[in-house]
Amino acid sequence: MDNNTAQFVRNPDFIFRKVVEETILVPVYQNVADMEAIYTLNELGAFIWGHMAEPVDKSALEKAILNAFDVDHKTVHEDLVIFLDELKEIGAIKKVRP
Amino acid sequence: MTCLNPIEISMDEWGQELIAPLNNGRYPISGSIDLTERCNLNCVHCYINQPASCEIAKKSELNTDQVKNILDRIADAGCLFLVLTGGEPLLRPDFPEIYIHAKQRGMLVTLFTNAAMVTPKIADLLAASQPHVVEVTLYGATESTYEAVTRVPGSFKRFMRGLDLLFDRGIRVALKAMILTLNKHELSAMKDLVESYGVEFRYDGSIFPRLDGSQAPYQYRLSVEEMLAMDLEYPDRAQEWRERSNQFEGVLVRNDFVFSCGAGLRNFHIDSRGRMSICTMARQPAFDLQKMSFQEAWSRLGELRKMKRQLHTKCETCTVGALCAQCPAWSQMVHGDNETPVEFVCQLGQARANLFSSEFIRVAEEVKYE
Repeated sequence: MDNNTAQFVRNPDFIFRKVVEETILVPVYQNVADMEAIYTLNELGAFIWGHMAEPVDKSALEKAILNAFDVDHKTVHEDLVIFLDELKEIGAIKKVRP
Repeated sequence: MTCLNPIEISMDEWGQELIAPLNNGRYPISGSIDLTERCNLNCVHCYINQPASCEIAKKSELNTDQVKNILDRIADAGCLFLVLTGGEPLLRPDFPEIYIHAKQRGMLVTLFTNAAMVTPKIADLLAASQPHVVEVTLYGATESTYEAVTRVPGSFKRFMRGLDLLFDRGIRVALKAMILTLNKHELSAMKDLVESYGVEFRYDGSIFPRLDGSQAPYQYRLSVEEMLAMDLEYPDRAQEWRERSNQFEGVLVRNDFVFSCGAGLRNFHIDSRGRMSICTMARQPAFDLQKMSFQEAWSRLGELRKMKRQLHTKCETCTVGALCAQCPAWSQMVHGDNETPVEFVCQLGQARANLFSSEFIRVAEEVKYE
């Protein structure tokens, strides 16, 4: 399963919250992330998180971003890879088979 | 495209990060809830405890679904920091269900407990889904002293076992000693005990009347002189008072509003019956969340924030306010109003001013009191 066909879905043990003007991810259980930390997402990060309630592949995410934001394809492609890797690293999303 | 990377912020930094852009806006980001007024201990000084088996208190408590419903509503309203307190929260058999529900709503949960009801099962639960912190109160360093305060034989052993279970599982624990006439001789021993677990020693000597108006806890309160002696015994604490004294020397810190702390601005409290008040100790007025929405209750608390002082008291011209704990909660519990000064609190503030700044100008002495 390469990264182009892989799908990603949220780890339900991470709770997405909007608190005041911040959007944050709060881990519920130990071992899914450093429990001493919470994670803030910017507007685009929150948008992407919103699209991962069900398994979704990277190209579908790219299309959704390009439709909603004024940004070029190359930048989306490069930054999305990094973002998904970061979310995987902290355990906030899981890679699943299509 | 702006940087997408999720930014990791430690919880200690988080409060400041979150609050910084709020200015004076009111947001209910921090709340506490009494899961019960009942307790497994019977501490001599407690302002709230009811017997563990008290059926009247038990029947008045919110049931599991009602608690979970309120947690849903406060999470929806934006509450991030939640304190589960009591009474002893672990006395409720549904504590695990309530705790996990709060966590699953994305709240950062602090648990106030005496630790004597921490079982391996509870410790496993907290280890699996870590709280922000478990705050444990300490009443003595030896069995005889601890149980002179708690009035429950066997409670010291259970407390120590509970503490060990929490630390063994790597749960973040904060320990605070409650200092009373009955245990003041063990202050150093309590410090040693706390520090043996590798955590910072903190202590408190604030004794409130009971919620039912009884002043029985006062007989266990340290004198002003003893409180000052404790301040001096710990250099860090003495230094804090000294710096505060120097910073605010001669300054009137008081403003025109009755509530000038964070109560009702960022904080709220809910009692075991589901009534919401502006803080844990100032419980009047209270708004019943079984009968109104959270937003309506929060809005009503906002009206309290606008209340201006009505009484003319000696606090008006007192310049030791920065060293004084006088507040509406104290006034409510002692005098039944929001403003009448509490004499012991005043004496302690004045004494600290005298002790930590020899040049302190105490204008209050020249004021004619009503």
